[in-house]
Amino acid sequence: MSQNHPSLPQIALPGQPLAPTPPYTSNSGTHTSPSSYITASIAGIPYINPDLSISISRSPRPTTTTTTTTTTSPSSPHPLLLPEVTSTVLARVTRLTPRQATVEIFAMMRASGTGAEGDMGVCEHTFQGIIRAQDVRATEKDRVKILESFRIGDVVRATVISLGDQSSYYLSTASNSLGVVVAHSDAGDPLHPINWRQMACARTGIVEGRKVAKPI
Amino acid sequence: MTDRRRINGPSEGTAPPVFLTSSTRKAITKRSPTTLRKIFLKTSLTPPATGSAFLELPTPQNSTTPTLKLTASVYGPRPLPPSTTFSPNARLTAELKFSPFSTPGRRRGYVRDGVERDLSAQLSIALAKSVDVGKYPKSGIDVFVSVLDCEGGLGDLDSDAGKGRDSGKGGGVEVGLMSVLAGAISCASAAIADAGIECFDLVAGGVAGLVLEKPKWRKGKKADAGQEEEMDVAEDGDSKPSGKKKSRRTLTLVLDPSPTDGYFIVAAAMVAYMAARDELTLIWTKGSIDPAGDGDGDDGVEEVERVIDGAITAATGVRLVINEAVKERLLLGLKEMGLVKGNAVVASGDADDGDTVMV
Repeated sequence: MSQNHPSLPQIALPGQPLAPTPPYTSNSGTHTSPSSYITASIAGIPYINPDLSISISRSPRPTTTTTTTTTTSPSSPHPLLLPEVTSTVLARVTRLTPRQATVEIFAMMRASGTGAEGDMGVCEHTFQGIIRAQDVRATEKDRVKILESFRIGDVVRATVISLGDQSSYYLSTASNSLGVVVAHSDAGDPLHPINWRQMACARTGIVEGRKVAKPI
Repeated sequence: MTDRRRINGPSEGTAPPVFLTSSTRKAITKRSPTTLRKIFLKTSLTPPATGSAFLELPTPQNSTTPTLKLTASVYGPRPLPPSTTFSPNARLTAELKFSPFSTPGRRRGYVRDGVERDLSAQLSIALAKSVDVGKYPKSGIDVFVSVLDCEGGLGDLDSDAGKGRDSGKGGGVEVGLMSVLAGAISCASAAIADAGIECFDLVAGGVAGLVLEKPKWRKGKKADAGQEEEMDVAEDGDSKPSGKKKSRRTLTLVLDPSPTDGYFIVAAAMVAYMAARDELTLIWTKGSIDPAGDGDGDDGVEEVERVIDGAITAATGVRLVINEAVKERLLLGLKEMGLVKGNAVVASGDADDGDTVMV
């Protein structure tokens, strides 16, 4: 690895000092010790990011050109994945009330700025989340009807806006890219999006209301 | 009519296997007081756990002599049950459990008793300061340590545990529980590192004891009971009378004392030590050092410092083993992915047999 700083060890163990903190900052897998050293928190391979922050990954970081390594991970559940504020998650709708939709988070993307951006991982455990009616969309919040935005069983892409209370994370779909990504009609047929608030069934042509995520 | 609902044994009966005693017994050289026992430590042996470790001390004399064996498994971070209140930090719970067959000479009940509860609380204190709990809000990290074999000298099953076997117990302060806790801390810390949970430092447990110079002290004790008057009975609440001669009283520092070593331990200390940060997370001292015993007016502070420093030295040695075990597992994972760098493999060459040994 040519981008390795010469002073970094090849393998860092928890508690191992890596670099002084005035030039360097801590990133994922590291912390700043009381003696103002960037110190390893996990065992792994340390890297210096372009912004002089030091992160540690347990597996070698894929080089920027390879795309094969990013597709290897999603099959196995990741035990250490927790929802953080601003992280994008995938969730399944489990319960609807006029005020909110209860969902279970089953996969998430790392929050931006943690160095491990862009890898969507499946969680080992599901986390309960809530999408309140005022968080469904950005405009005309008072006209939102939950029953016209989500249905039970829909897969929703949402972002975490708060760690929430003791039981649930608070999620929001107030963005063009967020909302329902997978939905089925009452008869069980898959729906496809026709605009940002409607989805249609390919077989019967029935149109149902959803807060639809913009297809990528 | 045969009973088909149950699994029956062979109708002609069975005979228990008879094992021959090994004649090629290794000659055990006695450890020097500053030598630690070798430690076998291996991680990732419990597949369902997020991280796990197994720790074993070598069998000292023969195959029937008990030794210390324990496993630690770490689960989490996993979501807390909805009934618990919101906490911005992870909740670390640690539980230490003795297996029913772990104690030598006596079967142990399965119900959690006071000793297990006490050790669990101490284990959780020792580990909690090392884990970066702020990184895992609203989640719980559970550490389970299971003691498969322990050396005896556990205090609660005091006298009858060592009876009938020539364990060579020397009397004095029992250090069995201390070595169990020290091993549990080291093993659990390796398991936490194996799980990839962010921690400030690895914690290693170390034990040291101050022993009276004469290891054969108890041999002549019963014979000349008249000498008891000269013995200065120490004022600790131990069930065994721990005494020392006023005239010749030289205390030797022994690192990692084992109940089978036959020392008379006057006082012992166990520490949980984070070597890279130079911090202690737990101190446990036992026994008493008679301040006025040697008549030079010191209050025993030096002796306490000496035994705690000894325990820290022992923990520093254990830390090297934890480092090697964690590193070995990491390199193995990298090797499986085929992504390991050439010189990194060379670094692990001495640890490929899995037996991480220190000097």
